[in-house]
Amino acid sequence: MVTPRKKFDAELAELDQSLLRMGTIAEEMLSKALVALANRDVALADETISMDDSVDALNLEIESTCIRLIATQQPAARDLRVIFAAIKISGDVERVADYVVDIAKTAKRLADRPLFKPLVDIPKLQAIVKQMLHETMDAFVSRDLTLVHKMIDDDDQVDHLYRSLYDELVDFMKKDPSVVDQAVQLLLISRYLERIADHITNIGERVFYVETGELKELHT
Amino acid sequence: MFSNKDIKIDIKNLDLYYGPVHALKGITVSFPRNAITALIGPSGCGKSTLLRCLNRMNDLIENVKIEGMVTLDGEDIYAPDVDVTHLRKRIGMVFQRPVAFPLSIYENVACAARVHGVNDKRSLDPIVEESLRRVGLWDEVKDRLGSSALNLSLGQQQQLCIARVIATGPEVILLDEPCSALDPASTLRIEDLMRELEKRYTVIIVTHSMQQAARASDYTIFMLSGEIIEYGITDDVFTSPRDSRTESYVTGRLG
Repeated sequence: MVTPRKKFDAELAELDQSLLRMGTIAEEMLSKALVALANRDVALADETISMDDSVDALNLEIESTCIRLIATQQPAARDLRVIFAAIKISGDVERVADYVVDIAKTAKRLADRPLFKPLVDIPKLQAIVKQMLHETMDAFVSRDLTLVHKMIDDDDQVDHLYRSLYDELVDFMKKDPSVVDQAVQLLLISRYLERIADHITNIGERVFYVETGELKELHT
Repeated sequence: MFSNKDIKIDIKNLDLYYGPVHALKGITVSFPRNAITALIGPSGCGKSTLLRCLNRMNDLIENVKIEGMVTLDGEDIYAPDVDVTHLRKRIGMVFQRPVAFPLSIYENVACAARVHGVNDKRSLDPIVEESLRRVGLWDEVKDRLGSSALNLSLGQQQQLCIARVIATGPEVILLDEPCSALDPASTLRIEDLMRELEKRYTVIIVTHSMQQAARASDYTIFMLSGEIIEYGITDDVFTSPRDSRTESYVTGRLG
């Protein structure tokens, strides 16, 4: 028995897989960048940076697949929402990976001497962000919106942590100008992580759209 | 676009005249094997005429003059010694409206094999079963092979017609607007079936639905006024056509 639209369904499933692969690479990059920072490991930072090429390539591949499917398959309803969301999600994951590259580059700059303070809040921030990315990509595949809502709650924690890190680092700088150099770099890393969380929130909104048909900001 | 060994049918400088009407003008094109090629274009552009040149169906029309060369695996199909019946066994055709004969489902398929010399039931049975399996109809009809084919739905009748072509052991299957009489679900079923068929056969389809060409073909040929305007990979033709007339047609602004 021939099931209608077998080839189109297979292509949609492949699209899911490509997005998932992209998310997995970004997640792995995020872990490596933070290990590189903590261990002052320049080689690992470079390895992280080089992984961005495959994310960029997947982004272009996903975009061109989506354009082709729209042009040739006349997608409607959920199929259309999935394809539209895939374009947006792929763009957001690509931006996430770019920020991770910025973190890895900063880690390289910080690798020349020990940090003026131990890393505490940045690893915490990174753990939450990584968890958010994982939950969102999971939600995309499992169609489980409770994961999206949980991720949105996590984002509140990120904002909170980022604000307290900001205050703390500014305090250090006021008290001891000799730490400004390093403190600014750490502040940048916190900022990159906070931006990554925002892109992940966007992804969650697209997953929400695919499942509900409703386009809206989940985070207010 | 293709190397020589990938080409199933090759056309060189084909001109066709219906009396004074110059219906095909200097057509030079190759059809790759084991692929689906779609012919699209507005009514009267010559797409069905071109399709009918491939198994010499135009020979049946009076006052037709055909010039140029059409080869199947390198052999000239218009050569004087060609057995046209044998040619149409190698290049089968399915028409716009399903042509189910007022016979049993079994006979509708078996008769095609009989024409080509298979007569005993022991040889016919597996041919009928295999042909019906390949079009995805076997499970639905295996318990009523003796009942009239006219009781099948139109979509099933079209599948039956494709099974009849398969029963003759063709190399190329020509489909002339095979879905224009079918409902959307049957249409999508035929399109999926084409994807199965291309694994074994070379499939060429004329369709007035450019959406169908977009969905269901590997290569697309756009024709206008008896000429080929553009020929390319279907994805390219529908995302970035090279010719502005193709662009107008696929965006619904022409014809």
